[in-house]
Amino acid sequence: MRPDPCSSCSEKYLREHTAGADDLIFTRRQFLERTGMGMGALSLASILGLNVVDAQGAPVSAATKAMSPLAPRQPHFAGKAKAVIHIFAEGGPSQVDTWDPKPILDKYANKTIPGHDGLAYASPFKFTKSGKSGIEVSEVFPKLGECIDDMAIIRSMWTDIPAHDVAQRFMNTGSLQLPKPSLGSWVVYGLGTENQNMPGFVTLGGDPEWRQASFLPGVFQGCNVNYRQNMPLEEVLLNIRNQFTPLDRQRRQLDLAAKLNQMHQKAIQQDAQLEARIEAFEIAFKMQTEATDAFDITKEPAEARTAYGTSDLGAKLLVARRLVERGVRFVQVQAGGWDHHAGLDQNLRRTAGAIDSPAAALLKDLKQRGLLDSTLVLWGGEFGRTIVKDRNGNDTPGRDHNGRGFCAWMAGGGVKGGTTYGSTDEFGARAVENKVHIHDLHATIMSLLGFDHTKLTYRYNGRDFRLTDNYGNVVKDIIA
Amino acid sequence: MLSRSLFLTGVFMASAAFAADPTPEQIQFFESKVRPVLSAKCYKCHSLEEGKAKGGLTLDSKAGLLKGGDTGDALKAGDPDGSLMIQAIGYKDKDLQMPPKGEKLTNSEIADLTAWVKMGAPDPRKEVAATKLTGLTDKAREHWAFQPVKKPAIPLVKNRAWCVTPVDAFVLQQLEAKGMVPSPPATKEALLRRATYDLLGLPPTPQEIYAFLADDSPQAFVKVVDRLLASPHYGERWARYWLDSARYSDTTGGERNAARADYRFPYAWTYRDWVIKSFNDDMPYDQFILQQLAADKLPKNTTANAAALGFITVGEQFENANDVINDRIDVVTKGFLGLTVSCARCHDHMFDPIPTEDYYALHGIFASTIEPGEQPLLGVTSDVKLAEDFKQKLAAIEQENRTKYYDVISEQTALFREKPSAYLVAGHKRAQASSEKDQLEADQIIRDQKLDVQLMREVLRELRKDDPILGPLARFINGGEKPAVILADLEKPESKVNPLVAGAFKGATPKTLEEFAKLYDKAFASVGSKAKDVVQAYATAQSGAVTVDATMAQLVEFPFELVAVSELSTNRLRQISGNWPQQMQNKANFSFAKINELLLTHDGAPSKAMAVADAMKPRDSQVFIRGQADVRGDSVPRRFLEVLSDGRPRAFKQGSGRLELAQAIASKKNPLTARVLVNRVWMHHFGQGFVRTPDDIGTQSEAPSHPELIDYLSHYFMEQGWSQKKLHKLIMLSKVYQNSSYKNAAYEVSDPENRLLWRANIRRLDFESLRDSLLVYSGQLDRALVRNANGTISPAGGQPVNLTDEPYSYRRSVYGYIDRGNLPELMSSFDFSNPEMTNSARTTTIVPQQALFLMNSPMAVDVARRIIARPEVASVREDHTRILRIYEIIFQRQPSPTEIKVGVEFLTAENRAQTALVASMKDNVEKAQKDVEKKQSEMMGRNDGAKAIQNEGKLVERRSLTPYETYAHALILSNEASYIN
Repeated sequence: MRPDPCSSCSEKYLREHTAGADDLIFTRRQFLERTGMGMGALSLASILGLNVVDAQGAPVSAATKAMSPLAPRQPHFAGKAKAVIHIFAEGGPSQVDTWDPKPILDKYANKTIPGHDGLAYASPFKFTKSGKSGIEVSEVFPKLGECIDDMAIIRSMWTDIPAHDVAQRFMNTGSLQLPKPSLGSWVVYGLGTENQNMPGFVTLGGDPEWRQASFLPGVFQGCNVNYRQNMPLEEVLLNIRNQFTPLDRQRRQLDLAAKLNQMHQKAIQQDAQLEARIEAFEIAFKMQTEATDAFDITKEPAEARTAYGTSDLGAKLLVARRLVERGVRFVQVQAGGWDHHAGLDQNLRRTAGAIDSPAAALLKDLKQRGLLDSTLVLWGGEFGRTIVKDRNGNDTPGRDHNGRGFCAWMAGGGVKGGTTYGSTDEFGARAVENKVHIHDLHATIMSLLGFDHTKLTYRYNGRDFRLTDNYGNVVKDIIA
Repeated sequence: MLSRSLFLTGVFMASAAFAADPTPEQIQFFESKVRPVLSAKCYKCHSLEEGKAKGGLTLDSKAGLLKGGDTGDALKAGDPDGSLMIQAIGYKDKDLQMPPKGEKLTNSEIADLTAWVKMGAPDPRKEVAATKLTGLTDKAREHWAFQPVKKPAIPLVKNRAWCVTPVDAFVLQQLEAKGMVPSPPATKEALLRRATYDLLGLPPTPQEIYAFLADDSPQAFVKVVDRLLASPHYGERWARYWLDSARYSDTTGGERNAARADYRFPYAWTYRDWVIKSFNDDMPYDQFILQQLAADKLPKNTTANAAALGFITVGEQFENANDVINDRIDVVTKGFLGLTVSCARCHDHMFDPIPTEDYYALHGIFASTIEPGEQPLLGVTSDVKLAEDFKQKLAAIEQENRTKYYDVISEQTALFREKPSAYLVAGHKRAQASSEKDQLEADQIIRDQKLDVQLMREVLRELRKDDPILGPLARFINGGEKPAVILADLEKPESKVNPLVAGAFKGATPKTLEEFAKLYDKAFASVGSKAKDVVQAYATAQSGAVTVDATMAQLVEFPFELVAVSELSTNRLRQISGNWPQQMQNKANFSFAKINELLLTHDGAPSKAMAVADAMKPRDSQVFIRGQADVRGDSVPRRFLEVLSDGRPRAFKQGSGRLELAQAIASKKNPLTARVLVNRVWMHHFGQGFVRTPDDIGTQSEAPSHPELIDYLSHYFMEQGWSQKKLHKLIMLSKVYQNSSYKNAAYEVSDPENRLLWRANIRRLDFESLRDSLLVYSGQLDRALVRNANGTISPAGGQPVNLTDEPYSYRRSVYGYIDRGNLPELMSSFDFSNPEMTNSARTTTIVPQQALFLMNSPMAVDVARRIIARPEVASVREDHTRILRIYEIIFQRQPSPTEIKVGVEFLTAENRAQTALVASMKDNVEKAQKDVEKKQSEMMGRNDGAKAIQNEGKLVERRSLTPYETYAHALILSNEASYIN
């Protein structure tokens, strides 16, 4: 490329240097090379969405679908999990009150424990052995207790910095500080999605940072839906219905826009953002019929509605199942409220109670539909809590943040049910045996989906990035 | 897993070993075998000397070793296996290997350290008398951003002919070093569009395009830049950027419900309008800083500038005062300095040279800053009728509130007077519960007597020895004084005890809590029906004089406070009721929200400044150890950050110190202020800054892409009197700015992020530009800078409007109502800045919701219709010209012949298809229209303090589109309309 300093108006340059098809293919190939997917021959038409122009509204051909960055792709090896439902227990659930019983704390109640500032706080909750596996389950999770034989409890989670924003970012993106792609974005980048009429990655609440695509192409970003039950669909998905233009006419509008976009791209050359925008319009168009159905839980039989409960959270998990059923790859449900600095006795009971029935209903429902084997359900927060009382919770005790030990559980998607993995020290304060770092958890999730986490990379700014940075060991013992 | 006994032993031994003095042999061993290894291999990352405390661990002092790091105790004396440090050097744990990769200690070094720990880790080092502040070392100070701004020489480049401004030389120098050349200049259309969006956030008009194309003079673009900088829309565009940095919102955040009376700020918009005006006036940036931090303290300042102080006050209103102070420290330091000082709230900053003391030095300044009860008046409407109408409406709501106040006080005090002894006994037992028995008894009474627990808490609050009512009881149960003494004191003339209470005690001989409490039943029984008269007297009192028996009144109001109606301003009422139990506040259900609503929507409302003032007695703050308010360390004088001070920072002496703080920030000597501003301006012109974290240019940020250029511009900026307009001009007249966005396959590989600026970046329109552009297309944009909610032009400014819901406002998006607790879905899906805190860089995401807005929203459809209704479109019949006009409106350029052909084809097909429009659509449309009418009728009268503002006006008619409208709508969907290239 040669600068043309003499020309005040560079239309001539534009004419002579407008990118030809070769340039576009090169860029596109480069894009795909970056994705490390090596998908073979390319069709310029598919890149630019020309199919929709030429087909005059006819359904998108299978061949074209395969070219889309959201098209389903094979992982590195056969993974059992095809979809993920991440129930994010934001706030930092206390391990010793949920999945890591430490009866010894009763003996130390209101006394000091060497090495810990403050007075020990024994869990106010009873644990009972549940299921065939006999894993001890806190009384706050009576319903999940019934599912324990399908669940793998990790009792030795740990993270780096026990501050909410940092730790939440870490759990959801594998990065402490810098903006990096979210877990869901990596998964959809790796696997594409089964339903081209829906976003591949849907979040029901949560911080935008937890669904960001960052340097991955924009199409892999999570699409957030502010779902509440009984909310009219028009409010759940703003502008989901057009009250002015019938769909066939709108199809023609989009075809015209696509044609213009093609000319525009030619003029200013290929750009990943512009491609992503074309993709977004196509998904949006199809969502009008598909999503309407997915979010309409009134179509569920009454017993299902009852099982998931009457809360918004229950409805969200039911929607999550409906989404996964329709081929959405990754669903994240925000189920927070675990930051129990004070009043833990009542408040944790309430928070746990809110998720207990819905989560149990989800597991049973997935199982009954034969979807549990292929759907990985993950529950966990960003860190755990101290075994001593929080200094600020004077009247009604609670617990402070603790990154050195906490719990998470997984079920389905090839996870070995009825197992516990790792352990904390005698008091439950820090993970000591078979420690599982956030990076390890991410590596394990990717492995269940069929990926070698060290090989699912994206080349950006001269270097290959991956979800797990330079860390991460797969926890093989919880994989069936 | 460590066994418990080992674990405990380790800890105890550690303390024991450190307590004892090391023997001479041990000293010898430490000095010859241990210290050299620590010093050579560990101090690099773990010492105060180097200013590094990775993992929170320092090893160059005994205290540091003892304290351990973030992952726990570094060593357990006597127990090498249980010592993290020994585990780490032994590379036994994959996640804990020290020193890191490739620097593993030799086997003999490991053996020495292990032996040393085994012998109890004797450490002969004496403590350093005054340890340096963590991080505040020469090394951390060396970070580029802390160096003074110096004017760099303009570099010599090979292709001098290409350069027009110094900016070009700096950019070209780096390109040439890589053997790269800049992309060719942008087309004139693209350039004008870019410049107009950049400076105004609006598209150029077709006339402006044609004028620019026709202007062949070398000054053509200079004229454009001058014209744009002089436009009042410039301030609207650039103020919005600053409002992102200033975390601007029209609401307090926090719990959001109708009961939250003061959820909305009634006057935040006066700050927003002040910012807009300042940009339009090109207020020098140093002034801009001084005004926002200390307008109240600047000599000879105008009243209008008081609005600037909204910068401090429009943040989230946390319940905890320290969180509010933290918000203010955060916005000041990120906003002006690009430093994350709030990280130092709980500990010294992990990465930047900001010790906790610095944080508390600023804490003192904001702890000494208050919000005055009465906000400075900025303006009132000159329309007498409007003003009168406002006054009457306000008076009605205020009277309603006062009535509620007296009703609730009457009700709650009566509740207490029914069973004073029960409240006192149960309350005391519960509060003082020394045994489970007490607790159970208290609970029993509460249940049996159906006591109100919140009311009980209020009663207990009065249980003080000097309380005129409960004093005698307090002396007995809390002071442990003898009943006889207490009773005898009641007889004394100097007794402060309420005579009616004293009367009830006369002749009694109480011995127990219960007996004491019973006497209060007697005292309060004397109130009876007199309560009503007392309350009535307060409720009708004229100018403060309440004619009532004060002794009786004391009993009537217990445990609350009766205020005379003449003293009961809304502010006072807020203050009083804010201290009430939540239940009681709910019961009262004061219509504060209605007042805010009125202030925010009535055109006759006055405008006021969200000002601050210095506290009567400014004070220094003590360090909160680990951020805990109840564990205080040393007091720190109010002063500036140490790293930005010449030598030791001097204490601020003038009041809170806000003005001195502002002066320290708005100083040419401050190395950060100008650089942070220049970096942001550059970011908004190019899509990315020299440093891409505009609110953090500390040591954790990436190195600037063009270190000399950022300094050159910073220097220029200050030299030119801190003029942002001059800065824009310098940047925009460069060749670099005028580059085209054409790509180059090779450069795409070597510099995919375009850090070297070999081309212009294509940029998606942000939310405001997109929405404002739609209104420009439709011809509806309301270009008034200051307009009140219902349309009157007010010199004071303009109340916020609803941007996203029908009937949507035609004002520019900068005037939108921003609710930090509930940002409209539409705004967040278009990446509107999160107003929780300073967020100067917006993300650019692409999600289907954005597409749905453009495809289906009533606004987009309305715009398409109105484009076709515009006279220049409607007046022509011939397709080619019509298409041309539509292109001029939406793309600000002429269509190519192909584009016209495609358009005509579309219209022909659409005409054919639409004649066969199915009846079902007609039904749909009719239904939609009905839904919409229903929605509007529901919306009316639903305004309250926590909801979005509703505009007045009509909803978009639900009617299907004509072929031309369908066509215009399709063009709006295209990429070109949403991107600047």
